[in-house]
Amino acid sequence: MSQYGMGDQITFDSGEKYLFIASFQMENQEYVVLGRDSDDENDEAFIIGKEAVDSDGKAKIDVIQDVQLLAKIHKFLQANPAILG
Amino acid sequence: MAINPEGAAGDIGSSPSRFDTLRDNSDRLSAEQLKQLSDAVKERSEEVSETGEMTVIEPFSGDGVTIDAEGWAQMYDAAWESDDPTTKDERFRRDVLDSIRKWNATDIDERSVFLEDGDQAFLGFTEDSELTKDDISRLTAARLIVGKRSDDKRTYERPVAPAGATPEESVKPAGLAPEKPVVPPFVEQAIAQPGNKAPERPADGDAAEDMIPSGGPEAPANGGAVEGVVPGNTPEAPAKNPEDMSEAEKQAEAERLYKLGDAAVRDPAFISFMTATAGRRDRLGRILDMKGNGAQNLQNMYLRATNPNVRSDENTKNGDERKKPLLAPYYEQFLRENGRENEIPVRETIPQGPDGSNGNGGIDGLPPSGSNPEGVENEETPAGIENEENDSDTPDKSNTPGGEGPKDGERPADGENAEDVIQLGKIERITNNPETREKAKSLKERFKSVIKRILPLALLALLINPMTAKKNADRVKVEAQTTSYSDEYVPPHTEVIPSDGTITVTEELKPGDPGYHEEMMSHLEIGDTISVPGGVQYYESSFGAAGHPGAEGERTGVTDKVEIRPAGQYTVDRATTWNADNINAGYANYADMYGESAGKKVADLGAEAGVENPESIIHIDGVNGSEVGGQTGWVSAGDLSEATIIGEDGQPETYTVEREVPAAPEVINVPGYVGRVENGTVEAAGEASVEDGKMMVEVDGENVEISFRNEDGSIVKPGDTVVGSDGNSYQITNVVNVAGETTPRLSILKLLHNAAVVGAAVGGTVLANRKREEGGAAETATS
Repeated sequence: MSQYGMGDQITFDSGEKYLFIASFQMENQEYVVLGRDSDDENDEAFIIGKEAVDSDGKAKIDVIQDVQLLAKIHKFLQANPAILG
Repeated sequence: MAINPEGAAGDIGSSPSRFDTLRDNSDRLSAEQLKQLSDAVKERSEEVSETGEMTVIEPFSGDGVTIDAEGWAQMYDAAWESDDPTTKDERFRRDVLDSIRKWNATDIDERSVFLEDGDQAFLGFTEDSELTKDDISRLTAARLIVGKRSDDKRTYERPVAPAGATPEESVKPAGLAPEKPVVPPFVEQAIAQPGNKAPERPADGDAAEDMIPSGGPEAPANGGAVEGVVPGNTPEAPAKNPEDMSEAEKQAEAERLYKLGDAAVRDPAFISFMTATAGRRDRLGRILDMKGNGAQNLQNMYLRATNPNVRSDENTKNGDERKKPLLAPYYEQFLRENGRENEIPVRETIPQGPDGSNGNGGIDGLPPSGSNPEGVENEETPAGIENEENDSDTPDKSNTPGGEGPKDGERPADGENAEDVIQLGKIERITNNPETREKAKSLKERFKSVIKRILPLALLALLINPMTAKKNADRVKVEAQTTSYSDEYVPPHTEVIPSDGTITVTEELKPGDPGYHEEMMSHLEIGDTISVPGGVQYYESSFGAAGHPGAEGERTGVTDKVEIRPAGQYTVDRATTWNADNINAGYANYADMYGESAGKKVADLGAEAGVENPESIIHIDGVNGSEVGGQTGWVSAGDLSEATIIGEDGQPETYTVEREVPAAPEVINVPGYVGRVENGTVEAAGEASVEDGKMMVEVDGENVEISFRNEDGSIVKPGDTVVGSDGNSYQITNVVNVAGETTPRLSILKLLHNAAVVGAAVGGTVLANRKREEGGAAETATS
């Protein structure tokens, strides 16, 4: 279960803000979906990542960039739309 | 601003609240008080949350460590024991983590989680609050976000009970806290000494004795309960290293320590001392000359041993019996320094049997059966205690003269423990904001829409937004490479993509082909007719009169190659195996077609006898029993490399076999292009059309026309954004003039709704790598 809740605003030190919008599990891995917190209603910038803690003990979100994994996630979400609630 | 959990009783932050009352008036927050506080805050949580002034941590679940109310009370204490604002938080967090790791779920009644932080309260309350590592991170992170309590809020003071009071009696109303705690005489004496240190210790104490009064030996490595607490100067019996103790002595020592610890928690003077220093780790540490976390751990042990809410068995709550032996050395020191040595149980000298055992089967460190009215469970053996306590109760050696720095598995000294501090770093989080929650809901619907409507690669491009990824690289440690581009013109060429796989091919083996002989030998059966070329030497039948192994007069070796056999067809009438020119080993594997072995595979002979890697020899005779130009004899299978089995059709047999061979590499014809996506994915690809200054680009499976000209007619240049025929915006990333071509080539990035960069297209480029990623064939369009 993700530590984040719907609407949690995650502000990175760059100042860019994202909102937590969903988490889901696929193959025993949990992923989080963040959407950019923007006033533009058409803004469709999303991040799929995994919560993690780095060696310094800092929480981080690893952005999924592995294309095969992303493709798998996409198919998974398309096949299981209800998983996003 | 303080949280007021009283509901309508007062406005937040303005009037006295139960929260403040509890905080200010308690000796420490007992489990009961914490529960009251938890309930009170919980009642108001929703209302307060909407003000943005308080966050309620959701209940926890999952397997992991458990923290109880008392633990949080201890952490509450620890949070304020230091006046140094720069270290307070660090210590607080570490103590929280340490405490979380120490408690387990088996002996806890109150299970609540409480974090008090300045003018805000964090509360997680659940009936079964088992925290996972993530939960710990969550708690710690939550605290970081809120910030620190201002110093003027620090109104927490611990009153001190008079000597002889029970722990319960030590809780006094606010205002009774004396500035100087009442301390027992030995403490006064210790404080009076230079350096505010405890009385001198025996000189033989080593670094580990920071927590070990009277210079006892170090804890036994086997986890015995004694943990180096054997007084070193008891006159009745010299202290021994636990490793040198007999089983009987260990048992006796365990009993003695339990008695000491049990007496400690009943001794009003000791109770008073511990009460006076409760929550004052620094003070207690000075008194007992403890460094690191020793004093806090002693306090923890004491509180656990005396906590009436801690179960020792299923029916009673009388404190944690397991902690009592661990209190023993401190109590022993206490007694000595107060002139009460006569109350210290005498260490017995127990004669040992020949095997060193007294035969009672006692378990080290367990309270003696006769003195353990509550029946400590077997699994809670001192070994377990040792392991548990060693995590935290062993003294910190790093600051001790002669001591060692922290090692793996040891707790580092204060301020050094970076691993324990789980932080959220520079990622800030604001939660429970109704506005962002609504916004997130909208975003979620958009995301679901995106998932439904776009092609997979479009999503990938969306998610691997290169610009965003680049930004993210600094802040979230993106591990993967970001998409990158090159702007050079690459002429048409062929790319060979090696395959790392294999394929299975079917192959017919004919006589003379590589592998034919081995295949043939696997098929060869007793009774087969084989075609043998001329010149094959054979061994004469040297197995005795009967001509087969085991017959009377047999010879033990097959060494006599007597003749070169002429070419012809022969019948395999007998076969056996041999090893290293010694046919003896093969006797048991003998088979002939005159018995019941007709049709038996020669290759099976060795396997049936368990002979590893046997060589085979076969006995061949003329076809149909008639000799062909010579004697029958034995032939090594190895000498039949050119032989063939004659099939029913009179022709040499052929064999069909399957083989794994490397897959052929993929060859792709790549046309010339400008730029190329080196990593990541590309959804849009296109083919330039030079006639009208426009470029056709494939986006999401649709052809989109991109103009080379801006709306004002000027030629596009890098950085310009043009609108494609699909209505979406595309950013020109590069314009390259290729020699011999009249129309420049473009590299573009697709911009969706003028916001996120969702893909990339390269003018005139066939992105072979795109198809490769999909596992399909490469495109072959040309520019």
